[in-house]
Amino acid sequence: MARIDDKAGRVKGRSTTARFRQLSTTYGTKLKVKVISNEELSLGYYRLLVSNSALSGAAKAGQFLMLKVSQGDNPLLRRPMSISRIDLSRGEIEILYRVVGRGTKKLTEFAAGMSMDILGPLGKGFDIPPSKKSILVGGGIGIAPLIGLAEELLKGGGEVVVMIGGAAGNDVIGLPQFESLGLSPQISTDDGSLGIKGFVTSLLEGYISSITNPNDYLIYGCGPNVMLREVHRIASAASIECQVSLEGRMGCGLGACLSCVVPDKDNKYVTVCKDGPVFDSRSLSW
Amino acid sequence: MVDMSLDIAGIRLKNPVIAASGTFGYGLEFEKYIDLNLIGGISVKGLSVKPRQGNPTPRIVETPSGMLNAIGLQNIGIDAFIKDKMPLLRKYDTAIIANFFGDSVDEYVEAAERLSDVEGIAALEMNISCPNKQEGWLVFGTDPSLLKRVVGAVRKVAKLPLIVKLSPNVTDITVTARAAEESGADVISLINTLTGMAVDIESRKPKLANITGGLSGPAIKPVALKMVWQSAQAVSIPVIGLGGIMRWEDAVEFLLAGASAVQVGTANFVDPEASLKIVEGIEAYCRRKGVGSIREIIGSLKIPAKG
Repeated sequence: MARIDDKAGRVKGRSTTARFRQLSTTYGTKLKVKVISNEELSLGYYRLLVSNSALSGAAKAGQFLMLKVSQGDNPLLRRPMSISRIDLSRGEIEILYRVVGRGTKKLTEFAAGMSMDILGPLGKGFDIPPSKKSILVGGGIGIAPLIGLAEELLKGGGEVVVMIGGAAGNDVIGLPQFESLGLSPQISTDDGSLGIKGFVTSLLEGYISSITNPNDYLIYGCGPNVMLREVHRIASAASIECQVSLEGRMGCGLGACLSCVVPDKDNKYVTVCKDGPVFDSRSLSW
Repeated sequence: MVDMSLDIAGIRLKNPVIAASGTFGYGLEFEKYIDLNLIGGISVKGLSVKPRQGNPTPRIVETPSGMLNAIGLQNIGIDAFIKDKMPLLRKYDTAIIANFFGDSVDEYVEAAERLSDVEGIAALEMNISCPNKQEGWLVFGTDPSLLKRVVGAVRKVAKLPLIVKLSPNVTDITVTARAAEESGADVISLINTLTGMAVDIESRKPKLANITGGLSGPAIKPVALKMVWQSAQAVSIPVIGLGGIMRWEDAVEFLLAGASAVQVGTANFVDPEASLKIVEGIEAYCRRKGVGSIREIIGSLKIPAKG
């Protein structure tokens, strides 16, 4: 878990007493961020942009944040959101989210200029080994962390292929972001309204069928569990290394509540929030 | 200056705010967020003699102003706790409370024996809200005779102050509170979670894999407060109050109602700094009220005369 020190510019006035002020310079990754924008991209999908240079400076692709979406006690728990993009020069973080319940509905009410209480950056992000060709496979809102990852990979001069899947065209997220990075994602939809008709895993299978040197490649996947299981199966069968970013039902995001556990390959529980959210797919039990 | 320190049945606390078991991991999960030296104590994640995997997922679900959990007491076991966690916890100047449980009287006794000899543990806290497998899944915490048997057996071997954490899932909390006192508890803490349930109406399935779970959070505070108030009058041993404490005002309510100290639980998930803010808030309240010691606040509830 990254720690933000005072040099990174902690937010002022977050506590009232002298002891707290002293504490805040040494401890904590609880931050106030400023909302820059929060707009609907397509039906039910939103893009939230927040500003805090300490946060953007500490964040890594694949990490996540815990957002406090209400002032009061209802909804009570923070909502985990993966970081989709990190803009170091502007000190901004982009979050893509889909409205699925009370918490995310509440999140849509944040307007530009408002302040938001965030914990983070949390968890282990993507492990980026040098000189591998990367295949990024995202399903639905699971595409979010792969945008920042693509950016990072391109900075390192790597070769990047992107595949995006969605139920329908409306669920294909992140296309403009990838295009702005100079990438041309392959697209699939369940209903065929955009790209090929079928699952994104079919795109993956098609692409890797021509690969002769699996050691040169690394697959990164994020999306629904059923999709990730298939991505893992395809990667394993082709002997290609694979990292997956998992979703978890989190209470705390700190490894304390033990809610977001998944079984590892030895059937021992690991936490998505602290041991993940990014895992080598071979380390898990599918 | 307000004197915030307390001695509860030999447990020395620098202030009355303790992080509640099950919500604060082994304490170390929070060391990057708050200075653990500044809170009164830490009740660690419930320990058993052998490590436990816990329940299948989903293990939590949010409910209005609260949450249901059915983690299933996943823990690393007493051996790993002593070997891996205690050396790191000992560095902190805060009361380490070892919360523990078992599936039988023998397991409770073995756990209490093992934990009693560990340097740096200030007190033991018995979680009696789990079922007794040997007695056909009767819950220790809700049957007064079973409660007396298990607390009595642990009392004989426990060399540290013994806190018994009571279940609120009873008809009359004063019955189990007195049963705990009579069988040798030095302190009682209450309330544990209230049992509850949530259903997904689309799939027609329970929202928790375990079907039922324990309700916590601000939704349960009024229930907890009443039970703490009743228990404090029913027993002569100290009471630690918990249940839905989110802010310092909540904590002060419990202290006024007769709790000698409080535990902060679910609030830690929402704000890792919650327990520290509560310490600060109680201190400021005492200053404002012109109180020199926290002890003057405890049990100072004013009940208006009738008529």
